[in-house]
Amino acid sequence: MSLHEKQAWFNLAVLGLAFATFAVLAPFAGVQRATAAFGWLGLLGFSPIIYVSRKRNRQVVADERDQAIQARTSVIAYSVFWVVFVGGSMTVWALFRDRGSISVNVLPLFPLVGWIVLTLVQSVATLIQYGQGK
Amino acid sequence: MGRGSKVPSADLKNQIRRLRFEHDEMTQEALATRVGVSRQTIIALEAGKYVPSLVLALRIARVFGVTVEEVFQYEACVK
Repeated sequence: MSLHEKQAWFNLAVLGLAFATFAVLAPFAGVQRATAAFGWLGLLGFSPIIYVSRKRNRQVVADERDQAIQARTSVIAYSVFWVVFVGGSMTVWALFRDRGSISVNVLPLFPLVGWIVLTLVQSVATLIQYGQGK
Repeated sequence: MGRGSKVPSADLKNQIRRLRFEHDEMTQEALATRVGVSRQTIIALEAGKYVPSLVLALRIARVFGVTVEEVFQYEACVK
């Protein structure tokens, strides 16, 4: 398994943990408080540790095929991100336009959801690309 | 491009597996180390799923002491 695949699995595990915690907390604490579960996403910052051991052993960390796969998955992830971002913006506009303003509680969700979508799509696309052996 | 138009696609065959065995049964790991890629990339190359860069193709040919054309054979086909 390549390092990028390991990182993708790690990302998906952290996302799964965050969503599972949210699902458990939401009925008891309410949706707004349960969003604290997404604090687990801070663990994603530890994913570069995966690369340390191989760098110490002077093994190839990422070759041209890994870079090509990463380039493709980034394009896919950013494309999906923009679709979700524009769709989300229009949905918020459609829901709140009668009020003339948007709640400050809604705006922080944009970067959070955007980041989750980006990480999720990139991780899934990475695993699919490696699975196809391209 | 319109529907039904003929698009030429690259079909790159290679002799990496044969050349490895002709060179003291060189392992995929050994070849990967010598050309500076991962073993997974050598596996993808041998399976014909990955088309290498020119530099990587030259490196592989140099390891085996042959020309690039002896390692990779390009067969253009129209689909």
